[in-house]
Amino acid sequence: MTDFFLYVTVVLLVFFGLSAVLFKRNLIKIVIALNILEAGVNLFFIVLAYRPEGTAPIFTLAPELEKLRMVLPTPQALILTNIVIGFATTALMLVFAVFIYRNNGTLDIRNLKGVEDHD
Amino acid sequence: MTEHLPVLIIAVPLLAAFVLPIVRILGVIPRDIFVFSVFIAVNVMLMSLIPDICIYNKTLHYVLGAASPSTLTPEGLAFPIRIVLKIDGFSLLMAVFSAIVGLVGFLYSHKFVPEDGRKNYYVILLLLMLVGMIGLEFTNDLFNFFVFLEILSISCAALVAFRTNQKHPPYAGYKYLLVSSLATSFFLLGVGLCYAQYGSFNMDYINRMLNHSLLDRVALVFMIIPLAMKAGAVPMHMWVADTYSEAPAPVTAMLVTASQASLYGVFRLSFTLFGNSTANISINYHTLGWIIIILGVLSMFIGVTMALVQHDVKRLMAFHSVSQTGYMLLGVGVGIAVYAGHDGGAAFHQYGKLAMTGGIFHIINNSMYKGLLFLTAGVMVRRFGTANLDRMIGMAHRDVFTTIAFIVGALAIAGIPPFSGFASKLIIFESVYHFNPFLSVIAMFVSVLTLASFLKVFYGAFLGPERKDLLVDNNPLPHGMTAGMGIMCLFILIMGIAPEAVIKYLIDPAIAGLVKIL
Amino acid sequence: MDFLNRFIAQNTGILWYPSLLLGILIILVIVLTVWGRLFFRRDYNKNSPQVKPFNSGNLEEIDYNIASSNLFWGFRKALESYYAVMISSHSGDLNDYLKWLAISIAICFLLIAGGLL
Repeated sequence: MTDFFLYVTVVLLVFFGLSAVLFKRNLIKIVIALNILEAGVNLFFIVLAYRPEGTAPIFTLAPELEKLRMVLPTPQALILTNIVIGFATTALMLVFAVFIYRNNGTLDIRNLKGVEDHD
Repeated sequence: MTEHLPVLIIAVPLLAAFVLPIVRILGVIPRDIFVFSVFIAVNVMLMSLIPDICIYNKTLHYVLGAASPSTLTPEGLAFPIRIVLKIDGFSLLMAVFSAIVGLVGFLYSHKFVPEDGRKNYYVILLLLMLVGMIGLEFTNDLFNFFVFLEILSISCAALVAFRTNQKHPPYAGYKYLLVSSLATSFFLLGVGLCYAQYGSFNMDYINRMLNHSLLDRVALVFMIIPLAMKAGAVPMHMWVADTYSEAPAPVTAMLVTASQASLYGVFRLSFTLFGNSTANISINYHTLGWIIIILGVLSMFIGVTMALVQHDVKRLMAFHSVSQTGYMLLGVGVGIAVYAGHDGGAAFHQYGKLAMTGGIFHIINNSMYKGLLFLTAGVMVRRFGTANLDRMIGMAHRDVFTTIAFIVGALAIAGIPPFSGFASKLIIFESVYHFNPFLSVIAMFVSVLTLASFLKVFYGAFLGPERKDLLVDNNPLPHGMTAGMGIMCLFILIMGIAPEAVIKYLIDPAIAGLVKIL
Repeated sequence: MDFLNRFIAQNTGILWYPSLLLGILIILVIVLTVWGRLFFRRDYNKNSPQVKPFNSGNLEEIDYNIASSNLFWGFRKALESYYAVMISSHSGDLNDYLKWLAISIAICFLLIAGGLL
């Protein structure tokens, strides 16, 4: 049952992240929204691998196969990679936001069309 | 040594990128020689794989971290546990042309990008971009695909925003990175859905185990649509014009290949991951094909009509790259639509395979002539200090080589013989006609409009009286820029004059790598 | 002969001889050059005003050229309503761009729900 609620959390996180990306007007807020979306995806992988009352898959004396409930380590390792990538993306986007503010004096995407010669 | 080639092709530019700050201490010229030799080395290593894969039709597997890299399941396991690189004809074709465009981009930016202390970062990012493109074309592992996609997007975005002191480039980079990371997040969600069912990231293994459940279809949508967005298919194409037009010219030429790497992802996933032509349960290939065809036709038409009214030369060409993506999607989409029909592959052999030939041929043609056109646009912007076509005039008087290169590129993109665009477009028209004549008519109409809009550029920038007062830079072109454009022209001519050789030795193996019912 | 066959598109079922076309083109260029040298007008002089375009009433050389943004004005005028929609959707607004991703994914989900995909 906890599984079900965790998946619901994943869906909610992705939904909130996506809708914030689509409707927020501030560049910094869009970065935050993207992070929420990524957190949802990361949680999805972690929930996939998680077994209630499971142990880490490190055994000195392997238990019997029926009692074996372990948490799969692969997705967690992959999610570490994804967190690092997400960190790089966030950092780069915030750097861009700083430059945008320096050059244009605003962070509102309604004032930042970026289309100069276009009619 | 030769058995380690697949990983060396990725590892050499990756290591070179991180060694570069040390090499820079020796000076600018050793740095340039070093990077040039790295690009040449990658090209040579890729070319050396062509005989094995394209002529003898082998598929190379490389298992990272295994005692013997060529055995797929090392410890006698039933499923592959390590990251596997798999090189077949299609991967190699895309990688070869990515590497050639990378080399041209580096040559062109030799004097184009000023040596102001930031050039070093520029070259590092160029190398990382090459790593991203080749890596995602070689890998057979979905998560690895995702990682290389992110390497590609981060380095591309940083390069798009390279001129940070100007008004628009940082916002263009922000747009590129936001679009890419949103797309890759959805892609990762799709990968997770596959992993949840099959417990592996290996594409071949998932394809063997695939049971075509509802979750698989959802995963298919989550993977294909974001990759189509990264490739710039209408209606998700608007970011293309905004980002391509702000990037430096050699970067834009490489961005075209970067978009095509995403296109590679679309085709690779629809065939190699989800393809199942023999079993009774399968995704509906007809609908999937029609989705891709509709994306393609919309891209062609909306891209070209928007290009026709642009005043900014780089925006105009960016809309054309949307339009040309449409041709590739159309060609391969027709192949997908008839792939696993109820007729046992008769339609596929009659015209579907030909349509795919045209579509894939168009990919490599586009990477050449679109790159060439963006490079000539770089010369125009360098001469006049603006990308506005109204304020350019009479370039043909002093830049004869650029004019010739532009004519070659413009005729190739419009599909005029004997340049390469004609070969692929003719194949697409003829084969799509058998599928649906209406689509073929639209494709021809788009071809005419393409010629019209390049006529506009030619009229605006090259014809007319010579106006010295409008020029901001009157120096002769550096040799690097000329060499870059020359290489592109050469490839366009060769592929236009000997299309049959290209089809036999490069395109047919690529289709053999994708399709399983040959 | 096998070498020559590489230059002819035949396996694809499409008749196209690019090398032959190129040969014809070269011959045409030679013929045209010889013909021009022999029979074209001799009174052409690059340094006289005869090379300038004739434009009555306007002596400013700058204005001889039509600005390239005015090319295809008629095409654009004829499709004015189409371009009004298209240009407003390419406004540079980031939110509008990304909405299409959500819309496309939603359409594909509808196709799945309808049993089509």
